Amino acid sequence: MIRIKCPYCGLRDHSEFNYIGDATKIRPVSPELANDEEWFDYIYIRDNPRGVHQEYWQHITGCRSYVKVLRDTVTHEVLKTGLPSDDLLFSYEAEK
Amino acid sequence: MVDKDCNLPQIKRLSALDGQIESGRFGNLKTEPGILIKENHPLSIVQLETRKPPTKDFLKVIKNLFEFDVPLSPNTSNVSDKTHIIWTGPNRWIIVEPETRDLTSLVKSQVKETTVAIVDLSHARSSIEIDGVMTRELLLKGAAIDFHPEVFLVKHCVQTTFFNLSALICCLDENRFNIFIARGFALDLWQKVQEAAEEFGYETL
Amino acid sequence: MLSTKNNQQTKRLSSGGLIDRSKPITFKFDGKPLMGYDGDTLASALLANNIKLVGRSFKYHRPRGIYTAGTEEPNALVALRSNARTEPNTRATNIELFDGLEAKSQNRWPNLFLDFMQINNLAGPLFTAGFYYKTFMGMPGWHFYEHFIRKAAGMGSTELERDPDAYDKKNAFCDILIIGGGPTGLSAALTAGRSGARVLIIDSSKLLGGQLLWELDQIDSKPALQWIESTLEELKEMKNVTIARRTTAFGYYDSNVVNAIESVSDHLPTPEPHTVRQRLWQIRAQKVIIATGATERPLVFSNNDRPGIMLASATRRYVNQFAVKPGNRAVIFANNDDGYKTAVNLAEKDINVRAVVDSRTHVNQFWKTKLEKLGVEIIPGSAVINTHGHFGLTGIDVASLSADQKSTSSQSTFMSADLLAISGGWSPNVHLYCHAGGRPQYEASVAAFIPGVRSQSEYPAGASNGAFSLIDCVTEGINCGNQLVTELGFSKTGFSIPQTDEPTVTPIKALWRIPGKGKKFVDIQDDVTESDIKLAHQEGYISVEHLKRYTTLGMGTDQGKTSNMNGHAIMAEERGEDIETVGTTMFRPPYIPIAMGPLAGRDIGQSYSAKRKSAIHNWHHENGAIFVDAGQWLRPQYYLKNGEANTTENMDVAITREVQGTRGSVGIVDVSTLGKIDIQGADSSEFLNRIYTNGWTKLAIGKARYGLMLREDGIVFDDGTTSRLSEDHYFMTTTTSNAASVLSHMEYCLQVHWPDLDVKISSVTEQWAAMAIAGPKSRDVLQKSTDEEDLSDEALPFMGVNQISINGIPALIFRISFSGELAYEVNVPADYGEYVWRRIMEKGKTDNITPYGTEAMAIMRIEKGHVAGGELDGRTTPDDLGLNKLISSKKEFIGRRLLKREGFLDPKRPKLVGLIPIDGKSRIRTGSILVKDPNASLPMPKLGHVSSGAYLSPTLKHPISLGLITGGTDRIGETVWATSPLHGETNEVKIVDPVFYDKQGERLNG
Repeated sequence: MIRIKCPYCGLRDHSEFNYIGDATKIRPVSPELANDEEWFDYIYIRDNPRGVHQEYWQHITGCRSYVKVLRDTVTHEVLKTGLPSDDLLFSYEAEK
Repeated sequence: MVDKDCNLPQIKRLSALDGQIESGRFGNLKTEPGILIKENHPLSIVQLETRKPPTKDFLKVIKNLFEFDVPLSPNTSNVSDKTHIIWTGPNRWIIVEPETRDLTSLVKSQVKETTVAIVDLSHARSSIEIDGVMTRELLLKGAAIDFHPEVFLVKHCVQTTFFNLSALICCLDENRFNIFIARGFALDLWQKVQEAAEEFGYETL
Repeated sequence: MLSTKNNQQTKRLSSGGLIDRSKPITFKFDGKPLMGYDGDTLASALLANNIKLVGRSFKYHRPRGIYTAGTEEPNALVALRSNARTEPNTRATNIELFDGLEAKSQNRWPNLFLDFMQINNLAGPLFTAGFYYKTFMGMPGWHFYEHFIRKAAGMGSTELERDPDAYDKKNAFCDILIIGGGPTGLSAALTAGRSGARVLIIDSSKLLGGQLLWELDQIDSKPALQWIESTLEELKEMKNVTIARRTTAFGYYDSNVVNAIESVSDHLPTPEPHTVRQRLWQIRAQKVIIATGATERPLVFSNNDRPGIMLASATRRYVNQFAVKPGNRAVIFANNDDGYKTAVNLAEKDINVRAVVDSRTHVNQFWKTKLEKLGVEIIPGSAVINTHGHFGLTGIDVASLSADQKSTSSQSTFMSADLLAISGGWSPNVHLYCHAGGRPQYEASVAAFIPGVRSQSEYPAGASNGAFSLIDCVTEGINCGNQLVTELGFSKTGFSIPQTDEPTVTPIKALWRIPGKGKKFVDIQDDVTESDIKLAHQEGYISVEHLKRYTTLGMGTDQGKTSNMNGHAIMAEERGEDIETVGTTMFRPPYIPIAMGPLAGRDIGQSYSAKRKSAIHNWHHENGAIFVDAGQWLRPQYYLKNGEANTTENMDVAITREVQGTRGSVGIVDVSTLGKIDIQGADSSEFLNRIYTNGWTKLAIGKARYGLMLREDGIVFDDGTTSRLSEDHYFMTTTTSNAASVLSHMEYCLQVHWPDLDVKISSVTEQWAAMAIAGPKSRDVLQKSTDEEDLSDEALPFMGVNQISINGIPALIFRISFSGELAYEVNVPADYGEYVWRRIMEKGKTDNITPYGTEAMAIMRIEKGHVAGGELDGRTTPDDLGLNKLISSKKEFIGRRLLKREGFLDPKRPKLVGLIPIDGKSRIRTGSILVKDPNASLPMPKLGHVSSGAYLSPTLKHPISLGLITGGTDRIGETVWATSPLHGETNEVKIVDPVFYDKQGERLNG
């Protein structure tokens, strides 16, 4: 069990969420200008870090918001959560 | 294509639970029933969603229509007379009342802002009301939400997983809660609530 | 029934104990009627009846007795209850005695005293660590031997009947969870409770108090029982404190979630009506105090497993709490002061205590004086080196121990005894601390692993933290309570530390094994001996985790509660390393064996998954529908008419009737399960343009369009029709199976990719009941059903959308067709769904309207070559499915870029075709592989596969299938073979156009 703080609804069980995936990959803003490398990286390449990972979860049985979650893959500790526009890694490092 | 003005149809609405519920007292009958279960039907439910935090104009229109403020904090709701407005997501609410008028058309006629999406959900949700001294205990069986009376206050609302289903749970009174569930799951949830209420003894209305 | 005068409780003391002698209880062990008292455990009642032999050991089938008095019991495992309620491997020491209890011993045949498997004991040297694998694996016939080996070595067996009892789950929340209601937990609860924090204290027993229930300690010069009573009284008065009894925490998970099992009815013959047997608690606490106490360790010497050998603390518990004498002549063997305490306790209860054998040389003056007074001999610097007896202990051999504990004197003294109480020190119950992520550290001063650094919000205190004296437990409880309430923002309250009467302690001296020959059991449940550990070491095992798996040390139902520490320490000695370096194995949940029942709760059988029903469900049910699961939805598969039995023949009859009825006149199908999404906002058209492959900006208001969605990697994701209701308002439909994922995908796009778009989406699937009316007569029937609406081609052309009225009910009507017939999809608010369906059925009577299910629907779509689930299988591209005309070249959309990748342009990619069996009748199984030559050598070159099929097309009178094959429609006219090797089926098929019926689409116009 992991408990995740939805930025809107508060702390909830992970069973209220759907795991979506890596939140560090950003879709090319101008799809037509992005080259093959960029598309390949966006669609297929995923790091599998030991430690801090930034990922998306959707609060599926709650407010349906996409929640950005900073999670330690070793301890499962949820270090920080926020909205898709937040850079959690940056603010986490800054706070440390 | 413009929505035609329409008054409520004359045909009786059939709830998802229609003909499926036996009323009476069940389960542990040694004591007074700890749980009362009933369905609220028929309801008018209208969802409002704004593009950005709502404008003053929008808030005023709602206030004039229903005499309540739009709840801006998550997990909260406001009540006036028989109408209930519930926060259901960022910049999203539902307005609920017993069906006595064409609520959707009323709201559409008053909210003129084109950036507000108005969706009729009157038939999309069933509402199961649970009352009785054991209500909060029963809710704990189905949802991982702290229902302590000093934490989950009257007018508090949560959207959560309830007996493995997506549900919206609202506290109407000390021990009285309203549960909104997708219509197709209403009977399934009703049966789960009954099972969970067995040990407390329950009465269906 | 047994009358009271036959009460044979020969080992019951006449007074004392926490049992109620006015409430006798009858029970049966191995069929023999016996009596005990309310307050007994099964173990204490057996001992009261002088029953010491209760089981046979796991591997060697040695006679075994009751070894402990608590949760850690490795030996006294019984099968409790009978028939469907049988619970194997239940610890007799944990079972509260109830009237009518039935228990049977296990792992013996034919009975406890005559066990044929005892031969294993004589063959002992064979059964060393890794024996099975070394001996039998790799040999021909391992599967043959395995059966017998598993039968000879084993535990109880399970019942296959369904458990008749119900199980429940609940969630709980608190500021502070206290696990364990002993002196530490109760002190912490009082401290925390007085501050106003929400406290939940759970204990696995019926009675709170923990070890204080059976120790003779004094608190503030009063018996400890009085302190428990007054503490509980105060706690009960506190509204912010909840006490849960018979509730055992078995796992500490991430995010401070603790799971516990409440034994609601385990102490009753059967649960009271309307109640459950057990309840699973999921507790979410801000802070967790682990006050789970400690477990006494046995000592490792030759033949240390005979019935009559018992942990010292257990003997104290039996005499003090249960007023039972576990023996008449006792010897005590210890490496710590608890040996003396035990001697005093037993002697005071009229047991002849012959001696205390202490491995240490120094004896505390306090105990010396006390034992002298009781006439108990003290034998310091010595050890028990062997025991005698078969079904029960008859005597022991004592020898003096060298200073380095590595050898004993050659001379030994025999002492007759029927009870040997042993204490090797205490191991803190660090299990929950380990579950939370903690790594225990070795602490030499107490010769045990104790909790180290904190991982989550777990706070071990008292004995579970290595503080074994009563005063230390109470002090840690109070301090921990105060610390946590302060951290949580409550103010602490005054609570003075009470006084206890404990004597000064002479430190324990670690003694991990006693020299000598013979079987020295380390793990008494798994029959792992000291020599197994030595052997493992000799064979090169270094890690304790490997040692565990190789020897099975600590792998039984007791998870090594009494054995791990000794085993790991012996391994350390063998390696010549210190214990800290060698370490300990990681404890994982569950702390105690957990039945599957409470984990499943009520989600079993038909309730395993929620049932979702359409608004028209009741009509289907009343009219012969056979339902099929479509995700959670229940959908009519076909309808049986009056009197038709549900046979495959009648299913064919029904399906034929439904297809022919529809194509011949008019049919109606419930399509409420299709996903429906309301889309509003100024950027709706732009949004649709980005998520669909085809263009949307030019769609006229009042028109519908078929749309195709791709994944980012270019694979087809979903299809459906979307209609434009007004300038900025669309109504989307999705397939039934993808309804949830399409909505989530769209929300992802709006929230993550394009938050700048003004689009609001909402699922309206449940708002609308939807039905498709199809067939040449559909317009006529619908005309009669509506309120004089204009349904002409001019008013509602193909792909037209309109809002109409059906007896005053507003309906959205779409002229779209999945069947290929003139067809309409009517959406009405769900509560009117059944009414409108009935009305259409009524108005369609003269045209013989036929309700049809998913089978007929699937056949008709295959006849028309429409793609569905079998083709949208997560591997196909638009081009594969002949849908290239839906790919816009004028705009960006999700999946566009990767459509152009090399693999997708490969001309060899399988493409959609129709398939017909050459013989015109063979059934072509979906999933069959398409090959050129069915006799080619393996692996056969694969051309493609069959994606969906109708084994009978009532329209074409022969089976038809859709498939994907290299070359696609270029191969029309060729024959290939469809083979399903798994079923031994191979059929020759002809490749045809995927549209089997009405290629020009003329029937769409009626």
